[in-house]
Amino acid sequence: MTNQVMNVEILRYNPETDKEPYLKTYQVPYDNQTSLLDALGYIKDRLEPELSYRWSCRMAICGSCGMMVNNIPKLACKTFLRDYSGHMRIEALANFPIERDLVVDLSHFIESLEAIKPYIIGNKMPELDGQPHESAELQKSRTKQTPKQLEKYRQFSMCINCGLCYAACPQFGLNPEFIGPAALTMAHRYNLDNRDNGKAERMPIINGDNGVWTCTFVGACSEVCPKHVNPAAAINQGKLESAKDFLISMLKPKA
Amino acid sequence: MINTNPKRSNEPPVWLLFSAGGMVSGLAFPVLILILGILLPLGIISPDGIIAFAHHWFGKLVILVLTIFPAWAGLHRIHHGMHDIKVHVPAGGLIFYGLAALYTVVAIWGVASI
Amino acid sequence: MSELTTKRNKYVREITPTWWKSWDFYRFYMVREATAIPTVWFCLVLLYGVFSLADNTFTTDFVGFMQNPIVMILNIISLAAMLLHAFTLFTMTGEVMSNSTGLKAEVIKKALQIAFAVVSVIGLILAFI
Repeated sequence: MTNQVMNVEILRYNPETDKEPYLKTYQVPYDNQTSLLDALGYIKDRLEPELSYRWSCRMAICGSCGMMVNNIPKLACKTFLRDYSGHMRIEALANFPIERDLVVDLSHFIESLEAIKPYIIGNKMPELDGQPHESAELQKSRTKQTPKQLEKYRQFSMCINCGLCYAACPQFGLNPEFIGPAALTMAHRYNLDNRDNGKAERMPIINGDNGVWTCTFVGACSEVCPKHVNPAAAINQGKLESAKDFLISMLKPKA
Repeated sequence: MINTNPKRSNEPPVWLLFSAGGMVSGLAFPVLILILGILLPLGIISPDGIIAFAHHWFGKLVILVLTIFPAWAGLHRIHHGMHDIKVHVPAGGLIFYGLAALYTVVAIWGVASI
Repeated sequence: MSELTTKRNKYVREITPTWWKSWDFYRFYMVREATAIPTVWFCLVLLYGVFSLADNTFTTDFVGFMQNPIVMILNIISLAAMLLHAFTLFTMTGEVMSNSTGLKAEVIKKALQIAFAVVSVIGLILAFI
């Protein structure tokens, strides 16, 4: 295997010493199996011990290693040096404040996820009392869902919370208050789940100006999603729901 | 912190109009531009059929649909486009949807005068 | 006791009005949205047509206007723009309507493309009658 060398230019930033971020280039040897995550590990081990970045599973399921590679949001563990000819520019995930090097502040993302109540609300089955019972008795508390019911929301449930969609979304870039693709997709995922009865609790955020209506269907979110969740579809289906909700609220008599 | 009970957005009505208009312009404008913009001025088709169509009540209805809805769709997109290129238009909503409303009134009056 | 202050100093990157130039995907989005301008142009052309029908100057003034070379060029550009708008719209509509109708997004897109073809053929037939 030829041992080629890649110029990996990384946007560095040390909050204690730097006024603003600056680019620094590192030479990284690679073969046809080297991932960007491997390259960062090489840089940290051999060239720059102070380089800071998040990572964990190295197999595109934990969502930790999101960053910009030549202006496109990618997971470092799923990005391979063999696909780039000679030069890669790595920056922290776009549209989020930089804490240090490739580490960003994801608080707005986390808060948005929490705000849309990402859990089953109002599961109508009889409560379990924690005591052992006959299997037939316990089964009454189990909410049933057919494969067809699951299929309605399954794609939207595959989100690994990596934040690439927020980095890709220009409307989030232009409006940092936007609830964002992943959160709105998750809200839609729960609204579509037959076991859930909490749609009314999620609608206010969905219906707000920072909810689905900030989206203009650019579609970049779906384009970069490593799990093919298709958040663009979820959000725009959400617009349909929100519009229906608007019309229904107009027809209801004022309380 | 995120406001968990924000004010309801006013977007739905204009979005619904935009959706209708986008569909009308998407399905009908290409053939319409072909007919009125190329075939008619080049004399390949005669204006008589179009004139007769416009004098019939059904034709007038069709003309209203073909003009009003796409106008709302186009102006809605331009309004959002201003935000995309960071051009701040003061009272943008009022201006763009006001223009659409004006166009609607003028179109109705125009068609009624045929 | 020494006071603990944070060493955090978050750097916020500005979004410029030319953010869309950085990626072809964004450029295409801007072109798609820009089809709104030819849409409004043709709506105004139609309005002029309506006025000319109302005062019986359709065959003279309106046709004459449409024969103007600049107008013809604008209309041809508009035709291309509306085709782009139509085909992107059909894809997007497929995505939006797939869950509520139970149909696959691809099926809805194809159905709209067929509807487009039908409308175009009917339009042409009516124009030639």
